This record gives sequence, C-alpha cells and structure tokens, in this order.
Amino acid sequence: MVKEKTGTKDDMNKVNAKMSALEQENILLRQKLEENEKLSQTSPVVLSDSLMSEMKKIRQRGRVKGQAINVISKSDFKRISLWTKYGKQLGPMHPDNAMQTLNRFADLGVILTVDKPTPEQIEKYKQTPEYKKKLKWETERRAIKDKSRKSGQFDRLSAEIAKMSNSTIDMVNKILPMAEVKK
Amino acid sequence: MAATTVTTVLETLPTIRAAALLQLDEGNIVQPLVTDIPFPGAGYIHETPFINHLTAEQDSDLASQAMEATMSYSAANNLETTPSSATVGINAAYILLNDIAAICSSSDLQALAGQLIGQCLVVRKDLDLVTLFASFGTDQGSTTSTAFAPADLYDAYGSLRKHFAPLPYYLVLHPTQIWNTNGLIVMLDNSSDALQSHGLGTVGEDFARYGFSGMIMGFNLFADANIPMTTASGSGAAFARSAIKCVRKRDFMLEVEREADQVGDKIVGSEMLGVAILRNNHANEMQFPNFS
Repeated sequence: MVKEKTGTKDDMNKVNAKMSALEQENILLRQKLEENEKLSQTSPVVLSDSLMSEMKKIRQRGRVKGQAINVISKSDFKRISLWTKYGKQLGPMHPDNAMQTLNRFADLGVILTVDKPTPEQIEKYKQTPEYKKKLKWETERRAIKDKSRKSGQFDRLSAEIAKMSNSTIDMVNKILPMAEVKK
Repeated sequence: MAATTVTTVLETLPTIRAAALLQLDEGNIVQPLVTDIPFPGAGYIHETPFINHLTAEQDSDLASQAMEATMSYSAANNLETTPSSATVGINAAYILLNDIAAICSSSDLQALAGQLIGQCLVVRKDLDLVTLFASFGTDQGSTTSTAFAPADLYDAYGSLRKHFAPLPYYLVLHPTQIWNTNGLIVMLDNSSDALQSHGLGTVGEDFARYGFSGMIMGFNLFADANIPMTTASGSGAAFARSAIKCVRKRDFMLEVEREADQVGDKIVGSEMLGVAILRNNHANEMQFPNFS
C-alpha cells in the first residue's frame, strides 16, 4: 500500500507522474502477458495434442457413414464346433451335421464335446493312460508310414553292405582321396 | 538478364482414383468335386437312405436277407447305418449402398457390391464344405508327423478302394501343406524324402516346370486356402465325389431394394443349400501339422 507523503505541490506532481508511469507500465506488461499466453496456446506441441483430440471427437460424434460399405453376412442357423478331449476342433458346421458327427465318432469310441476344453483340461487329459495309449498307437503308426520315405535308406544300405562284407559302416562310407589311393 | 518468376501448378492437378482392386478370396474349390443334388420344391431336410448289400447264400438254406442296413455289416465295415441327411439353410450377405457413395465414386459401386457379396458367399459355401473334412472317421495324417510320407497317400487310396469308392479321387489340401519345406512337394523334389530314387519323375517334373501337378499317386490335386489352419495343424481330405453331398434348394440370387429412409439401396445376395457327409468311408481326413 502506498502511503501518500505530505509535502509541496511539486512533490505531489512528481509522485502522481511516477504513479501514472507505473500504471502505464503495468498495462503494457499485462498486454504482453496476454499475448504470451495466446502464443503458448497456439504453439505446435499443444496444438498437436489438443487438435488431434478434438479431431477424434469430431469423427466420433459426426458419424459420417456415407462412404462406408459394409458387407453383412448372415445365416438362419449358428454353426457349431465339436472338440476332442485333446483339443482338436471339428467344424464349425451346421447343427445337424454336428449331431451326425457326434454320433459317428461315438460309434468309433471317440467322445466329442461342444464345449472347448481348457488348456488345463487338455493337459490333464494328456496325463491319462487313455491318451498315452492313443499317442503310442499314433507314434507306432507314424513309424510304419515313415518307412515309406527314402530318408535313411542310404544308411540302411551302408549297414547291410558292412554286415555282408564283415566291415564297418565307416569303412564302407569312406571314400579315399585320389592321393591316398594305392596303385 | 531477364527476371524469372517461378510458380507451381501442382495444386491444379487432380488425383485420379483408378478402378478399385478387391481383396481376393479363395474360390469355389470343393463344390464341383462333391455330389451335386438339386433339391427344389417342398422339403427342408434331404435324406439319403442306405440299402445293405446282399450276399449270395452258399447252400440251399436261403435265409431271408434284410434290405435295410444292419449293425453286423455296416457298423463294422461301413458306418453307414443311418441315412445321410443334409438340412437346408440360408446363407445371405447384404450391403447398404448409400446414394452419396454411389454418386461420388468413380467406380461402379453397384457392381462392386455384387462382387463383394458374391465372394463372401462363395467363401461361406466352401468353408461349410472344407470344415466337414475333420468329421470323416478315418484320418491318414497326424499332428505328430513332421512331413508327408508317401504312405499317407497310398494308404488313403487303399482305404477308398477298399470301400468301393468310385473314381476319380480328389486330394484337397491347404496351399501351405503342398508348397512348403515339409509339404507334399518334398516327396517329389528328389531329396531324401522324395518318392523316387533317381531323378524327379514325371510328377516331380511337373512341379519343377509348372509349380503344380494335376495328379499325384492317383489323386487329382487341389489347393484350397479356406481350409482352417490352426497353429498346430489343418485338415485336408482325400475323397471321392460320393463322400459329400451338396443339396441346392435355391441358387444364388441378387436383389436390390430401395431403402428410401436410408437414402440408399440395400443389395442382398442369398442362396439356400445344405451340405453333409454322404458316405463316411469314401473319404479320409488328411490332417497335417501347420508347416508355415
């Protein structure tokens, strides 16, 4: 708070002039502050954040759908999947086909379920003797089928020659370089 | 020296949209390979009953032989005790084509909409057929296998012949089950897993020259990318035409309806059909690991 001095008229004039100058300076400073605030509001960083946010709102609320083409597919039934205990999916298929598949596999001794087994249930089933028996049968079947491949045939041939010639497989497969071949 | 003023006219050059390219889908692969049954008129479920075969008696005591399927033969050998039935269902797809989109587009959006609907329903039909593959009672493949073995194919062929499946036989596999480092092609590339010991052979030559062979080990070969592949495996099939039936109640139809309140046209495509396994023993599931 400014305490007014009591003095001559000149002194009073000087004080008033100083007060007036200070007030003018204050006004200028406020204007500058306002200008700075305006500038900061339109600076690139703030602009990108707020602008993107507002643009997103406009897009969401505006709901312009004129240029969208959606293909909607529908059927008069819901397709059903069946699952084995070890997590194999059959289908999805028409409910009547699902019913027939359920019966067909039941005749074969395979129980299917409409509910997908959880990973825990699958893991638990894989520990059962039933699954281990199935896996053993499958592994044996694959071993027989894999014999139809050529892979491993050369090794088997080498072993057979080694046996017939009373030699070793290494000896059979060993091919001497020219320099080591005895003349 | 004359003063030069530089200006650009880039803004005056419009961007022209060329005709749009549709995202591609698999085509109608399996339907032409299965038994086609037109089913117009009344009826919702199409049933095909089975009649058991007759065995000639070897002595003078001619026991009456049932014409209907009996458990003694069918259950043990054919699993064809119950009639094959296909229930007809509707597959439909529609598009609401806004006037503003149709007027503003440089392409014919009506035609585009028709194509989109057509593709959508073709894929739907093929999916309904290929998802039946895992429902066959015999599986020649396995998720435990690392690659195709020749025996997978000749076992399938033998299985079909054993059950009197009529020729020709088809083998439909996912593309990654054919062209892959562990796929069918490995049997023909003269590697250690190949079928032939010396040289490619004619089928291998076809793969080497054309990238495809129409026939392999007695099967007409088809690739179908609609076959669902999980992270573990996928099921193709080796089958005869008699394995699956496709019952057509009403073929594909396209309708355009004005939706004035939506300021656009509703374009609806629909067809009515049903698919089912006709003869379980005239097909083998070919389940193999996902090699991709």
